[in-house]
Amino acid sequence: MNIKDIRLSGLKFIKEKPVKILVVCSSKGGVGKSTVTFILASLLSEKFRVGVYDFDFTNPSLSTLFNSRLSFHEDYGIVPPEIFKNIFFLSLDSFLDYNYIALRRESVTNIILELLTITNWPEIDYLLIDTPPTITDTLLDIIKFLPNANYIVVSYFSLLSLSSVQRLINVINNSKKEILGVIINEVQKNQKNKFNLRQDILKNFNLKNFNLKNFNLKNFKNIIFLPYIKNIEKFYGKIERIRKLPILKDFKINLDKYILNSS
Amino acid sequence: MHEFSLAKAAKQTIIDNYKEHRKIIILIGEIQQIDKILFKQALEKEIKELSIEIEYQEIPAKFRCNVCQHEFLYDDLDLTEEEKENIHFIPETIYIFVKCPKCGSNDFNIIQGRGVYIQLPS
Repeated sequence: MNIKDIRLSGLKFIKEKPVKILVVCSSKGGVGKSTVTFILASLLSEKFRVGVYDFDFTNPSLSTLFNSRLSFHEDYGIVPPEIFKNIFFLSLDSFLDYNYIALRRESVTNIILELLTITNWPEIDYLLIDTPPTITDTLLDIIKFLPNANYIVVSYFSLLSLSSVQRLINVINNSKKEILGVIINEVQKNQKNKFNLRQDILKNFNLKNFNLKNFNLKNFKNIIFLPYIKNIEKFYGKIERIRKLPILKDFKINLDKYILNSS
Repeated sequence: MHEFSLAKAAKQTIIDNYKEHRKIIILIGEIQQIDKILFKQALEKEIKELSIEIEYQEIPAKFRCNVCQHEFLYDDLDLTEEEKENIHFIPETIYIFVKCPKCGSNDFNIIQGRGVYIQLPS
């Protein structure tokens, strides 16, 4: 019999936890995955207890968004700190501060396994996982190690981003995992109605002669528009202010409809 | 304590793979810097009903630089207590604190001595 890594059996405990896992992901960089995670945590924690993992190990941003670098404490594993009421947050940033960590892929897998095995989450209803861009190890490991996870895909309203994200959607669909919603981030008021058809995309981006024969939006189910929030930096670490933003009214309705009410 | 969660994972591994065996070997990587007495007590309490003999072996840590190929050991490192504590929890934080002693690169591999594994005696 081969050598067994104890963490593979240790994963059982997170898999059996009665918690809904939401993976915030995008194949495109800089589209606001961490911002979306921050907003989701702010809104969900109004009613639920929410755990948040920052799995973007080499470039963690959530501690800046939450304005918190509180470290964990030890109690039968590592216990993430409650950084705001109902938000429990764990990031390598509490080790890094403003230092850096450069990782090859085996190390990424090791950190994921280690964290999933030794994190002793308090009672939580949702576990949000922020991920780095691209379709590489972190996403593939989550698909492999957390079979019950659900996915929230983030994109900009741009041809570059949408065409990238359609690949990611195919990867997740091919893995037989559920995409709860595609969040189109930083949408301007006049863009919402121009999303539906390929022709409209072509028109909107002024690409009449562009060859988009392989580009289609049929896999973009449960589209949720997240409006552009002016001076968003002012809201970093201000959970209450995020919750009260009138501009998020429709987003909250769609969040309830697609994310919270899904089985 | 962190050792308790590792003991819990080790117990689950034994139940999943080794409960019919009379003896197993637990390999503990040096980088993990586990409190072995605490880990042993926690695990043996968890699995006392299985009556399995456990042999513990520590695997020395060894690193190889990806840039200059230099190999070095855990004992060669000059780590503070706080850095050791961080590495104890998440061994990969070693990449924050350690550089190749020869060329100064952070780009090195852990060749051995990471993690906790179980195997059968040969």
